Amino acid sequence: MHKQLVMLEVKDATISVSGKVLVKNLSFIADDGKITCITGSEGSGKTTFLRTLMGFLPITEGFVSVDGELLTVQSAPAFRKMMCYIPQNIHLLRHQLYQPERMLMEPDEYGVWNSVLQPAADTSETAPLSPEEVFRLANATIAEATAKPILIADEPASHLSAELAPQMLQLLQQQAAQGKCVLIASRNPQLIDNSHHVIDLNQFQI
Amino acid sequence: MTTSLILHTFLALLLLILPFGALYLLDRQTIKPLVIALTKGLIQLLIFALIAWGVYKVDKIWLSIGWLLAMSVWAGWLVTNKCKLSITSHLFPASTGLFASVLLIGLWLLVAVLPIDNMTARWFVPVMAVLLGHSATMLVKGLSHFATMLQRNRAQYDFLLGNGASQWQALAPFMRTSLLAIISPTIANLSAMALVALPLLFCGMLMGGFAPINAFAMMIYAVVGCIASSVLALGITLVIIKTINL
Repeated sequence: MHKQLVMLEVKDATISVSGKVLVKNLSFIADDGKITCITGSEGSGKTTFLRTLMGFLPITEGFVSVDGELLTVQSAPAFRKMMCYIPQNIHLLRHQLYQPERMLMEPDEYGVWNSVLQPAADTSETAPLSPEEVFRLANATIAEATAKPILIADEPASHLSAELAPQMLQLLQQQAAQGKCVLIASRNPQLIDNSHHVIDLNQFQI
Repeated sequence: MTTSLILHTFLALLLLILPFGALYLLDRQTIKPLVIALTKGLIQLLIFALIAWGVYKVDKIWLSIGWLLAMSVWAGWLVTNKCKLSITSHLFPASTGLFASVLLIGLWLLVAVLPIDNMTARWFVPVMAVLLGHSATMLVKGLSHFATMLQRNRAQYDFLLGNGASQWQALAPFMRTSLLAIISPTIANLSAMALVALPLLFCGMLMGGFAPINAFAMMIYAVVGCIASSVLALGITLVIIKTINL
């Protein structure tokens, strides 16, 4: 059972990117032991909002606090040690599961060659993870973060198959049952229906 | 330049009759590009020789270090260009990395390793030039891998940061990739060295009057120095980039 309790509070938060206001005057408290779901249409600012909560982006107005202490871009690294983060683009994190392939090099003339500098060689694209691998990585990330009281998951079901999405929900519910503060951003109806607290960002836009 | 040297140079240039003759018979269009390339190459070599001659002539340590600094900035500019990175944010890290690493490793070779009494320009210039050439080549590989991997796998960087890693810890996978990018060709090159052809540096030393055993020892010093210098150059460059850009 997780014992460390935290209070994550968002108060009158306004978030803007490049001068465009995405969220205006948003206030809520994410409770321990509950799943709080941030939802909204595509482009409504769900991911941006979660990134602001993690201190990757500054808040324009209002504040975010954890246990009464202000979370800013500067103080965020200390707060992130309390957080477990499942990003939206988790399917691109192949190198978290597998080591990058070793480069095979052909020998060329060594030592004092009078040649010009060779241009940089192209590196191959990283292949995305399969739904099963995405779930395995999410599971492993959460399992490694047993001592962290906050779980933030951005569209946790978006790269999963229809069979794996309920398993992800179950995993999130287990974390909440352990007393963690679970904060997700999602448009998945199953996740929204099973969340304790739903915040629709469309209601906080100009 | 003595009359004898001019005569010898002329005799060497006579060898060009062969490639030009072949081109005249088979592909006359390529004669002009070859002439231009040869002229450019000769002029570049002459300029480099004149600069080296000046540094040798004055033989002051401040001038030698000034020469290394100028060459490092030039090499840093070439590295940044080859990696297609922004000059404003990467020229300083690359040039500083090259200058500091080559100077440190070069001084170690000159002061502690090489059996020389005085650190004159006659030793300083070739040792530093060998290290700088290799380090710049390797820095292109290392820096481009670092930048490309970080750009393509920004998600991994954010993931690590988001899960509580420090900035250094989040950058570690990308630093590892760039380190492997410079170590892997070194492994490949060392494995194949001297199997097919003698390295140019080794041949140059033999032509310069070194006994084969001395050339062998010098070759080992140069190779080890090159590896150390390229790794150090990459490390310093990445540290500066992280400090001022990330």
